[in-house]
Amino acid sequence: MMFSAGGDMARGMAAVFSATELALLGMLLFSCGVAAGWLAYRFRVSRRSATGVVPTAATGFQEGHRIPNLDDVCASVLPIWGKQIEAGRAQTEDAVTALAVRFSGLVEKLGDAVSASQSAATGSDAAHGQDGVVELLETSQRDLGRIIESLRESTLGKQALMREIDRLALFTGELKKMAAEVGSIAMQTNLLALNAAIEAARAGEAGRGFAVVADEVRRLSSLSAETGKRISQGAEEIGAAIASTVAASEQSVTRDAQSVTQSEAVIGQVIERFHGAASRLADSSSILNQASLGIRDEISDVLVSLQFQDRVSQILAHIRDDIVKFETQVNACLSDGQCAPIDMDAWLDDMEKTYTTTEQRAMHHGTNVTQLAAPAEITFF
Amino acid sequence: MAKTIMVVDDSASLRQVVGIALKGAGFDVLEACDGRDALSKITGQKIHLIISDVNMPNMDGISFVKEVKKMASYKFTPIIMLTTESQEAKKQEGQAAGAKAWVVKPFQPAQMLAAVSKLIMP
Repeated sequence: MMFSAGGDMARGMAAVFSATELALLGMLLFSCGVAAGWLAYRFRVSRRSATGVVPTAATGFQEGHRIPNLDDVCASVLPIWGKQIEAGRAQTEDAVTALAVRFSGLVEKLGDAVSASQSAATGSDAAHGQDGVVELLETSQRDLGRIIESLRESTLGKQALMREIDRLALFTGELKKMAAEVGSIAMQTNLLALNAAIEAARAGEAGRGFAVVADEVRRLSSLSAETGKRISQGAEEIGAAIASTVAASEQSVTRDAQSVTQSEAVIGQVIERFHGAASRLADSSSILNQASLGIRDEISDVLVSLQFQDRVSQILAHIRDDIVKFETQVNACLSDGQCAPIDMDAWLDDMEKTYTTTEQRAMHHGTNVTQLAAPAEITFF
Repeated sequence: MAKTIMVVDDSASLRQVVGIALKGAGFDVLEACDGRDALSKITGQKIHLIISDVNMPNMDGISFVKEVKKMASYKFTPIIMLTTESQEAKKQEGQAAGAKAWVVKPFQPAQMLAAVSKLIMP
């Protein structure tokens, strides 16, 4: 139950009390009316006695002013009054106790809700090791930042690998050049071997052995030319593979870089949205906290109001006891014939001794008390 | 560790009201419905403060305070009398019995908590 700050307490109480409880309060008022009527009767009798309209309290009323069957009426009515006052007192006590129990539950739940809200927003519930949204957000932002940094380092690693592959491509160029040089040397060697064969033929029988050597050199130069060609083909294939790898790696690095940039942007947007939500949650928690302070003031007022049940209960209990005392006196007269006059002053003195509230004492001496007692100061000893 | 306050009052609603104020400030509350009930419940309990009504059936508040002050374990336990009674003579009875403060109902919860704090450190 929430009351507006400085709101109408009567409206608030009407909202707090159920129809049953209002009915019980009505019964209480009725009981008070009955009791007040009886008190007024007692007071009038007392005043008549004191002002001398009737001769004396000690000698009783004049015969002409006495209601003939008053004793019988009292014997019948007084027990009913007493029981009704007690029923009203007990029922309102039960109802207000139940109300206070429910109110206690509401106060406890409100406290829990405010505490949970603060904990969820700010993580102030450190005692339970729970993080609030704001704290969780900051932790998540740090963790996600570390992931982005890790991805960026991975991209940089790939770029370094690319540079190494580029250097490898340069080596294959060198390899092709070397293969071409091998082919050139083989061709010149072949030419030299051919000249040697010609010169061996010209030398006749003496150059026959040299001709064999020249043939072998030509054969070796042919083999060298073939090897040079194969090296050149191999170098070209390696070069093509490296070029293909470099192109694929470049695309991968570009995609990775784009992915990191996009991830960073998405994470930034998500974090920003969460920041907004967390900020709204913190604001909401703050508003709830402010409202709870206002409600605490209202609760304080309600707690003061609830205490009047105790005062009312005591007043009704005193009236009930006095009715029972009067009833006993009347019954003694009717059943045992003990009809001694009532000592009015002693009766009133006894009544006053039972009082515990200032309003009872004031009313006893004829002062109307309509205002509720204000919360009192505390006396320290 | 929350401190425990014993609330002695024959009105259940009043005990609830006092309980709401005290529990809201972090105290544990032990309830008793009159002086005799309180004496039967107090034994063996660690009670830091007692709040007692004056007019109660079976054993009234003043008699209860006198009995508590005879008990070695609770001789120095501070007692607040909480009552509708505001007469000086009654207050003096409470003081003579050993009460430390006298609060007249209805009380403001903040006032009551201030009195409690004054008598025991929360």
